[in-house]
Amino acid sequence: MKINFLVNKRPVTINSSPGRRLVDILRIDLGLTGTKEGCGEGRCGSCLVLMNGNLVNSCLISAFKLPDAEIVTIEGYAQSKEYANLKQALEVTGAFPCGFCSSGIIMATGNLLAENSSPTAAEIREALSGNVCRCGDYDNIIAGIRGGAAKPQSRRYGKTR
Amino acid sequence: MAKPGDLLRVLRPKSVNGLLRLYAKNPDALLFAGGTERATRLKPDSVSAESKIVIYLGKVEELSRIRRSQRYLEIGSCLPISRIVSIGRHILPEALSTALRSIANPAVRNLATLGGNICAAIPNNDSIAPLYAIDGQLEIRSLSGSRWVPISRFFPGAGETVLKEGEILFRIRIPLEEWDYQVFRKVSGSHICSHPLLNFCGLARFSKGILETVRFALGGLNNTVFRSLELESRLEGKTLPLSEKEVESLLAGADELLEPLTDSSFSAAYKRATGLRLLRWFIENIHRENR
Repeated sequence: MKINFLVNKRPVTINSSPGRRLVDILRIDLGLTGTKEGCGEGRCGSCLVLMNGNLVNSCLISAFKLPDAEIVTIEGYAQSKEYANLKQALEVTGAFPCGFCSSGIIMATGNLLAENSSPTAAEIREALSGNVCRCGDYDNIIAGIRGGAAKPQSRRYGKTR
Repeated sequence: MAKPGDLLRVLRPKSVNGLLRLYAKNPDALLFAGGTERATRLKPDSVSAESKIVIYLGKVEELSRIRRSQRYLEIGSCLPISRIVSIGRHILPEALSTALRSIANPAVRNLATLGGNICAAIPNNDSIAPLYAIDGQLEIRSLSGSRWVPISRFFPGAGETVLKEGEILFRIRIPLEEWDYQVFRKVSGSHICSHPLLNFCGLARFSKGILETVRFALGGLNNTVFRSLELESRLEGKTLPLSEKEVESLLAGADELLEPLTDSSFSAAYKRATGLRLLRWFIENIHRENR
């Protein structure tokens, strides 16, 4: 089927069988390899993207749900000022030793900070409850996020409607 | 039955009537809303053995409505869990709200629907025990009309629902009663991917130190949810705090009625002991809440 949708604010048209997963379309068809695949069943958070402004696991999104959708991946979020602040703060604490989980955790964090600009450690843990860091570096990640949260955030990124 | 290589056909009704007509014509079709359960079963270029036709429910606006009356909150079966929690803040019974907030993780809750959580027919799914305790009702629709079923009669057996050919779960009715004490607790295995082992919901209403109404439900022991009106009624009218004898008598009664089954992860004995601990914890906390 032919599918038209937006990825990082750019119109995209693909031909795909309806059952393919968004994570595969992003990585294979569109070359957006910042989105990772971990568990493939919505439990590890490596593949998180925004779909119509909502945080979702791209491994759980079938292609037939995509027509007219608006997707933001880590590559899109990386263009924002919020990302720059967060990146800087996470570099200070040295979070993400291996980096595999980083795109998913940053997408979940961006989504949290858009709603709550100064989250507590407990609120951050809840927001990241669907993200697995294989290195177990949660304390440094949370410290970094709290540092980044001190910087101003816009209302919500990636949502244009 | 679909064969490997069959291409997936997706139907997108825009109204409930359209959906029911399509479903009547294609009774083997896979109903697909949030897809958190189903998506992992779809194959890229063919389909699972279940069906070669998917009916996507995401465009049926009537299935995503939420409506409040004086006595009830009625939730469309395809409303995402995160939306229910957000819209239902300060309205939903706290035990149900806690249960919904404990489902999977925030991203999954943006996709998963209450109808899906129920229709998966897994009795230890997190919404089920609270819906039993609050006497939730389910509206089932088909081309021939509508019927209401209490959730306690929705699961006739393991992995089964009472939905007949061409029927869909249309909405879930939540009674809006006042409770003085309400709890939800779940016990899970230690692994991140583990499904909840047991979940427990307890509700109590009391006045001037007298227990007026008590309800509790325990999911995960076996293929259904445990609720005993007889045990609940034994507590009603009792003066708080309950005596040790009254507590032990209730637990002994529950011990006789529980029918846990051993599964691949946990023994029946462990489930029984954990279920009874949850019940004791609930009863003891009613004491504290009434102080």
